[in-house]
Amino acid sequence: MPTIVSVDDSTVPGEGSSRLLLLVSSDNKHIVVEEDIMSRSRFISKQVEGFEATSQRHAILLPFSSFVLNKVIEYCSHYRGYYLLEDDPDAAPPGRSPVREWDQEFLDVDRNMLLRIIKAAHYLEIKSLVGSCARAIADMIRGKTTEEMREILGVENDFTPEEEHSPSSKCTG
Amino acid sequence: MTGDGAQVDFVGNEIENRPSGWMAIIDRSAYELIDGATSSRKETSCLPPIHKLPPELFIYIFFSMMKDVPIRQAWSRRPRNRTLGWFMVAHVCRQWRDIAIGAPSLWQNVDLELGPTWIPDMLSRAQTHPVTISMAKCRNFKHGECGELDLLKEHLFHTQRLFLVGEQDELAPTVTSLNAPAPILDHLSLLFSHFKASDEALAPQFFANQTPRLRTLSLTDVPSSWWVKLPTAGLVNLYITYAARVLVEVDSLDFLHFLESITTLKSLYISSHSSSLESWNGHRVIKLPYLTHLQIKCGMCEFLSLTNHIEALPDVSLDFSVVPNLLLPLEVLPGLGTVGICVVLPFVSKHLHSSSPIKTVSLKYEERFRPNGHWGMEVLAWSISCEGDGASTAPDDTPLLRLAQWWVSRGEPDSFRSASVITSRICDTIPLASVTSLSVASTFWTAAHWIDLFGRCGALEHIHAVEDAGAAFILAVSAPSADDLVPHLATVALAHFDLAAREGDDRLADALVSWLRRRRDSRAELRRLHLLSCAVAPDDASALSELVGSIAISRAPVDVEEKNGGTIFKDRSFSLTPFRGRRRGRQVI
Repeated sequence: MPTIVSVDDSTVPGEGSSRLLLLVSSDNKHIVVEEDIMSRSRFISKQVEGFEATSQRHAILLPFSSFVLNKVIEYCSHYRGYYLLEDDPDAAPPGRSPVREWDQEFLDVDRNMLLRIIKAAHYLEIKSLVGSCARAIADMIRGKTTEEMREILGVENDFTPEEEHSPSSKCTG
Repeated sequence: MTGDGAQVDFVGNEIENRPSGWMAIIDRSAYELIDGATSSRKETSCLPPIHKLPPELFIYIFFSMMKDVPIRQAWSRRPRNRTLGWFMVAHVCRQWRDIAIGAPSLWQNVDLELGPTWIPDMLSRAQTHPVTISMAKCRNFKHGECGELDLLKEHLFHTQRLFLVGEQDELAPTVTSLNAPAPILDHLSLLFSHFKASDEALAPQFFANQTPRLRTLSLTDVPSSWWVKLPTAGLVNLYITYAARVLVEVDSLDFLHFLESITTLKSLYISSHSSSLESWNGHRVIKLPYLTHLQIKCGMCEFLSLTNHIEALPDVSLDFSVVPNLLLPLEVLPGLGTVGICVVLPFVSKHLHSSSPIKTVSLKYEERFRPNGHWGMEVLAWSISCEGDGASTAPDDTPLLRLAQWWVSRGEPDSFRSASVITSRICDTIPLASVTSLSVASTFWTAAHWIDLFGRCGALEHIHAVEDAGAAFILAVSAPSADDLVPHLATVALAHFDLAAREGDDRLADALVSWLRRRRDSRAELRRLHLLSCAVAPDDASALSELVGSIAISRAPVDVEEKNGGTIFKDRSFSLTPFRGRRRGRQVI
């Protein structure tokens, strides 16, 4: 029997409020969240469009853990009702995302968690969160040597000596 | 039976005869497959998470590694910091290198200064992706060694933004030879780093007159003989700057004719520190029907020249800054009556009286801690109401008006006097009767200023006062007669001053308590009081909380910034909200 977990009492409204969604994480945690909160996610929005309008609760299976999902929900809850330019369907893909102070604190997590969040945000098609995560990761390695970059992100050097110094890798950095 | 049929029969017979053996083989194969899958999964899970990211996320990360270079900086004279430093990622591992080289969007910023080693590769890697091409110091490409001009012409078909900076002699032949169509060119910026008076005009075949998507044009120290020939159909944003210390030739008739030809213009920015625009004659007035934002930053004479010839509609957002003329330094003080911001006011007054009623006003006077001792003032006005909360909440919309002026102080008394004069003049000009929200941030603001404003703003509901303006507010409302002046006051936010300080015989806190008690007794209790980064004694906080509907005391450390030996507060009033374009209905972050 799966555990029913609510994100936060304040985010689960009573009857008659915005429709509720049931999100099921990869560790089989069931999280109830208002559709309005998750409307920033293009993926969720598309899923919801497929549901019948009269149905009150919908289950959506997601391929990441409840820990990561809760972080994403926290992000969506914080920006609930706000217009973020990057999330505009007509906006360009996330590039240099604007620096938002809250995002910086929110993403002050360890490397692996940050990578999981960006992957989840990408899956859920939340462009603003993808952009903020990309900036946070970029900030981690900006100005570092290649060796430091490998160390920070746990990447193995798989170049042959010839490849490492090939002309295609010319760099002015 | 022969052939395949015989083979099947043979296998069938074998299975029938030795079913357990075949089943064992099948089982073993299945187990091997499962083992393989499991070990492969284990191996994958052992990989660092970064390897599991899809390539498009790497592209976002690499894109974020490029340093942030605002567009305007790309053509400024300051050294640019856009480099290829991000390409260090190509040395990290094979996967990263493949992604970095194979993503056209990562090569969309092409700096022609990078030279022949990089430019051809960058343009080739960008493929047909829209590119931004910039050149901070334009050489005479006609004599170039690496064929940059040919490359530039060859790639004009997917050039979206083009920034060219150079001396006139060298930029001219380059620009005039750009005679191929630029079908997606959206932003063109030209900057003459060294202007020389000459009769040379821009060749009419510029981009073969085919720039159907040109929306933004930035011109810096470019004589009018150059830009009058530029194609303007569809242009939305026009930035004209004269920053040179020499007089750049601008023919007023050319200028006005050019403006008139841009029927789609929405945003016009004119900045001049020279006197290029100051001596215009005639009475021709240009109407710009679609203009929503007019920003002028120049000396007073030029301002008069411009505003005499441009007619803005009532809904246009005005942003005016009067700056000391670099060529002819004007002493703003003490003869403020005839110069400075007051020159702007008649135009502003005419505009504001025909526009929407003003609901929110922010006044700020501050000393800019610069070596040359500049003081400044800034006034912003919005046509929408805003309930300030002490932590810099401003209407999230383009102000209807922004006035700014900077001057060199010769000591506080002069600045104080000038601030008083300016305030009085501005308050005479701006229609304040509908104002419901007022923010004042000032180190020299007196109770008399407040009383004067109370008399003009009969509809005031929200007040936000910072530093000395906060203390002065308490003194102003201490007088019983002040209650009649602000009958609708509902919220007050005070920030960055010492509530325990004494003014005369009384402590400010006592005066505030006394005023709030009087309001409560007359059934006009204040709905909310917000004290942000104020020094408040616990007893005073307790007394205050009894007298208002709700109280918020933010004890957060004062957000200060050290700058040139002085200390300034950050985010302390409405007026620090950046001046920005209108957004859609919902709140923008």
